[in-house]
Amino acid sequence: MLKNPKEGAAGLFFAAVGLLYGLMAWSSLDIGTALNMGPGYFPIVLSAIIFVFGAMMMGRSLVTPGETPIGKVPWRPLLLIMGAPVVFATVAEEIGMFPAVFVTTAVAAFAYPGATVPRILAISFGLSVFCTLVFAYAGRVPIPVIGPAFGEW
Amino acid sequence: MQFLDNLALGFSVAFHPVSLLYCFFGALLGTVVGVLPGIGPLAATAMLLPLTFGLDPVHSLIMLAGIYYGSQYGGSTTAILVNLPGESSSAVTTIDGYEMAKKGRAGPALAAAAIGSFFAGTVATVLVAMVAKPLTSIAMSFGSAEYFSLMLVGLISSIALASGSILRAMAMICLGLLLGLTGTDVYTGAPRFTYGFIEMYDGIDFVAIAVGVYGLGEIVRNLEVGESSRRAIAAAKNLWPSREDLRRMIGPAVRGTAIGSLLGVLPGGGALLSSFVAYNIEKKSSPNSAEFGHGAIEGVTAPEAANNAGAQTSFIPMLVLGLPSNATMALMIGAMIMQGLQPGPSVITSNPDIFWGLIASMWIGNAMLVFLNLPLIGLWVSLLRVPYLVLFPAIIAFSCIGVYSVSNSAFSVYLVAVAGGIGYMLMKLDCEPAPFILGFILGPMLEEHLRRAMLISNGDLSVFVTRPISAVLLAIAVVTLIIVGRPTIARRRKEVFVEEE
Repeated sequence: MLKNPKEGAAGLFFAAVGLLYGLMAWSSLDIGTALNMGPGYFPIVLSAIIFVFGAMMMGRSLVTPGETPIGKVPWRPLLLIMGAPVVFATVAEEIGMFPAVFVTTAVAAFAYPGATVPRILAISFGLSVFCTLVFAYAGRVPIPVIGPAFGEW
Repeated sequence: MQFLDNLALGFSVAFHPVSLLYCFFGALLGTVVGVLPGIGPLAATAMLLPLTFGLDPVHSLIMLAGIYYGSQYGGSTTAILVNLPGESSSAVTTIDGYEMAKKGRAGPALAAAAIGSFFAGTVATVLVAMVAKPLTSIAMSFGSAEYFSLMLVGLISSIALASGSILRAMAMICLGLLLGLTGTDVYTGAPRFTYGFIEMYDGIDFVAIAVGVYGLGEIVRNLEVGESSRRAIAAAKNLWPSREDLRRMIGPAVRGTAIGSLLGVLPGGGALLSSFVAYNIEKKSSPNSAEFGHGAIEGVTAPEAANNAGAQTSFIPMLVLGLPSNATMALMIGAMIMQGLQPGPSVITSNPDIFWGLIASMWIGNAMLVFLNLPLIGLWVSLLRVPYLVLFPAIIAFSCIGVYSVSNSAFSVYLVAVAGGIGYMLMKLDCEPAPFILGFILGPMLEEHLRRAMLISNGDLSVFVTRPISAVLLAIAVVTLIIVGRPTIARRRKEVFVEEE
């Protein structure tokens, strides 16, 4: 039975990545020869090594007991913190720097346990002003302050 | 004494008022960002990179060097005052630095870090100036086989940086190498692993990965642990160390400098390694070894000196070979290329003003930090008092804007989220990102040199052992692998990393 879940999960991940990349390289790239390596040669070698390492980890996880359990995944902070850049990337060009920073920081701030809505809104507003001044006016980042989604100003 | 002439040229560039100004701003901004918990030199440099785009090559590199040192220094400040290493290379500083701060000796601890670093920086600058020229002539004789073997040494030594098992570290290296190959193949033009995204034809944006894994991943980890881990900030009064303190600092500073200078040259995060090694040597050899772990000033001076010397000498492989010795150096190389400079042995002859100016501004950056960090302690402490609820949304906003402006596309900002998510999960499984990052940087170069070496040797693998320099490098790689694989060392690595937590 599985004695080391951490090692087992890592092994599964590496084996899967090795297999996926190996198959992609095999099916779409020219391998070539050791003398004249094609674009697929080095990737195939690496994928094979990764797969073997992954398989070794999976094997080991059945035998050697693990140090620590994986622990709980903090879904709320993980999703909100990683979601914030997604929000920014989706809307920044359309709605502009000021509103985009406002929305992005608000989404992120909800990851904080016990943060109240008024505080989050106040912080987001302050950061939007700060980022607009620093990056849009002083740093000349190529994002409009207020984007085309709000019409001509 | 030709190197003195060269240094004079360098200082004439670096002491130009405009250069001094950029160096100052770089160091200041770097420290401000570096002081923020969870942001190391890599994330700080990535975030501040856009600010240098408008400058000419000399000034942008000088400013970047300032940012690099500033953020490294900022990390030490947080390590001492709040027991939070901003980056892994100041992790050992927390052990004795925070203990000193708890006893009300935060001032002397910060001064010890600053003075130790400054001493190390001075020595290492002279060293870099002395060896750079002779080393470039050696570098000229480097063929593809030598480059390949040297990179192998770097990759293998990066295993020592990871706390998990060697198997996992090696898997992470290979994963980094593999993902580093993403994009158009230089020989045939075939797109590789792009999943059909045109944005990935030039490879995966390194800045996005660095920001995602080190910036955002760290935030999730901090939120997971909760506010309680951000302990009270020790007050820093009475800045100056006593005469007794100074006397105890001399030996560790000298030994730390020597260790740092040697290990820094190694491609593969020499600075981090050197601070661990320096700390352990002091702990063993010091007459005050009982005090270690309870606020020994030697335990602050030695790793900080080693760390800074290593940061300095890690410029050698970059300037001489065009090989990044760590992730931050990779960013610097990226910045050089954006400025139209091809890093490598030719820079020293084609752009001597840039080469020596950069070396001189390393020293000036160091000096500035002593005058910046110590008097402005009050400012750093107030920065540390900013509530995390304000801090982490700010870091996310800066990261998004920074990544967007480096690549000028929203695609890289999506990548930040993907890299951050995967990076976080892997860290949860005890797979450390440092070996991955190094593999990712070296991947394309490693492949190119392997392919070229095989072409030149007619597909004969023995070329790696018949060429003497390459054979020596491979032998070093094998010995390193055996050393990091020995159970006693493995156990010790674990201890060192457990201590930091």
